[in-house]
Amino acid sequence: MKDREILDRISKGDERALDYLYKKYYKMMTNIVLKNNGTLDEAKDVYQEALVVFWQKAASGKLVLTSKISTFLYSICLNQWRKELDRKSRLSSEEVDKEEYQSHDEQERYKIVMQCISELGETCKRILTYYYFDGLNMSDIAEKMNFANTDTAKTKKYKCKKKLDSLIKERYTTTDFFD
Amino acid sequence: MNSTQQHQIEAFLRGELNPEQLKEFNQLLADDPSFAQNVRFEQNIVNGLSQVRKAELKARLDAIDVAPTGWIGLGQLGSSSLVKTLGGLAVASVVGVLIYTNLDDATPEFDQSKVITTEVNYPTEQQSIEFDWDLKESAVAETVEKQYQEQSEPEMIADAVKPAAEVVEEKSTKTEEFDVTVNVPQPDALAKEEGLVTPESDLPEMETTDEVANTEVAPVDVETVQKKNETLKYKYFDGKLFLYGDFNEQPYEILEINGVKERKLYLFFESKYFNIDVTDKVKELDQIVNPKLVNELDIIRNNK
Repeated sequence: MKDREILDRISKGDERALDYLYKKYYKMMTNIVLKNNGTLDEAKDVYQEALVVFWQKAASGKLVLTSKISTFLYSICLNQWRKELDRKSRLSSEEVDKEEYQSHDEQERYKIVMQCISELGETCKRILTYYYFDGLNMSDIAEKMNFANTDTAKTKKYKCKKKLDSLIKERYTTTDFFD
Repeated sequence: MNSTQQHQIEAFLRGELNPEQLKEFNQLLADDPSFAQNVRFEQNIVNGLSQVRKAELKARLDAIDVAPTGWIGLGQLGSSSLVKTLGGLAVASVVGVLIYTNLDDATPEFDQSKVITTEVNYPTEQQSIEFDWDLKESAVAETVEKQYQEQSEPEMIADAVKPAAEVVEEKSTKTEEFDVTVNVPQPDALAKEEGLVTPESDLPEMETTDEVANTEVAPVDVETVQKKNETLKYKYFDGKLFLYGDFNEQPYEILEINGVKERKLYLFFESKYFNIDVTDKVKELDQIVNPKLVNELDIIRNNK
C-alpha cells in the first residue's frame, strides 16, 4: 500500500490502515529504543504513541506530509524517546514533585470525566471521540457509524455532548471541577 | 454562554481557528472570566475523550501479533557470557537428544529428512550503541528504512486483529439483583445498535428528551487473539475484552453479571471458570477454584 492510499484511508477513519502501518514499521521503529538502552515495553509504548499522534493528525486532515510516512514516524519516535530519556534523567531532581502534583490533579479531573464518559454508552463515546480526538467531519462520522446522513450525525453528536455536559455538571459542582 | 461562544470554543478545541480568530479568542479569554471557565471545562472534557480514544487505539495495536525483533533477545539476555552459556546448553541438549535417539533400539530408524536444524548465532561481544543526535533525522530514517526494506509487507489486517467468531446472545433469567447476560463475541454489535439509523432530522429540534445515553449496559466487546501453546491471557479495558490463547478448538462463553453499580465478567472455557478483572495490562487468566462460586456460575450458565 502506498503512502497516499494509507493517508486517504486514515483520513476516512479506517483503523485497518493503522494496523497495517504498525506491522510494517514495527521492527524499524522499536529498534530506535531497543538499540538505545530501552526495554521492549518502552519501545512499544514509544512507537504506539507516535502512531497515535500520526493518526490524529492524518485523520483530522491537518497533516501536510512533505516526507515519507516512515520518515515522519521515525522523527516522532526519536523525539519521544529523547523526551523519555530526559524525563528519566530528571527523576531525582526537585522538578518531579511539582510535576507529580500537577499530574495527580489532572488525574483526578480525568477520572471525573472518564466516569461520565463511561456512562454515555458506546455510540456516544464513539461519536464524541471521533469528533474531538480524530477530528473527523460529520460526513465521515455518519459513514463510519452507519447513520442515515450527516444531519443525523450532527444531531446525535449534539445530544451526546449535551448529555455528557449535564452528567458532569450534575455530579460535580463548579468549584470541584474548576478548583 | 451563547451559541457563538460555544462554536468558538469548539473550533478552538478542534484547532480550526485562523490566526485572526485565535487572537480574538485569546482576547475574550483574558477579558471574560466566565468564558475562560467554560473553555477550561470544555478542555477537560476533550482531554478525557482524548485519553479514552488513545487507550482504545493502543489496545487495538497491542492486540496485533507482531513477531519479536532480533534485538529483544539480546537486550533481555543481558551479558554475552549468558548468551554463550545458553547457546552451549542448547547445543548440548540437541546433541544429547540425538545420541539418545540413536541408542534407543525401540525407536524407528533415524529419518534424516525429519531433522530440523537450527542456526545459533553467538554474538561475540555485547555492544552498546549510542545515538548520534546530531545526524539529520530524515537522513537517518531513510538509511534505516533501507535496512528494513526486505521486511515483507504485512497482509492487510484480516489476520492481524482476528474478528470474533460466531454471535450468540441470550438474555438469561433475571434475579432480583442481577441482570445476567451470557454472550459469545459479536463483531457487529454496534452496527446493529438500535437508533443508529434514524430518519432525517435537523439540528435545532432539541426539545425531545435526551435518550442518547444507553439505559441498558452494552454487552462487552470480545476479541480473540490466536496464540498457540501459550498460557491463556486476557486484557479487559474500556469495555473491551481481549483473549489471548488457542480458542479455535473449543468454544468459550463469557458470563456477564451486571449489578447496579458494577459489571462482573467470568470466562468459561474447557470446563473451567476464570475470573476477569478490569486491567489494561495483559494478565494470565485466573482459574476460579472456590467450589461455591463455581456452583453458582454453573447454575447461571445452565439457566441462561
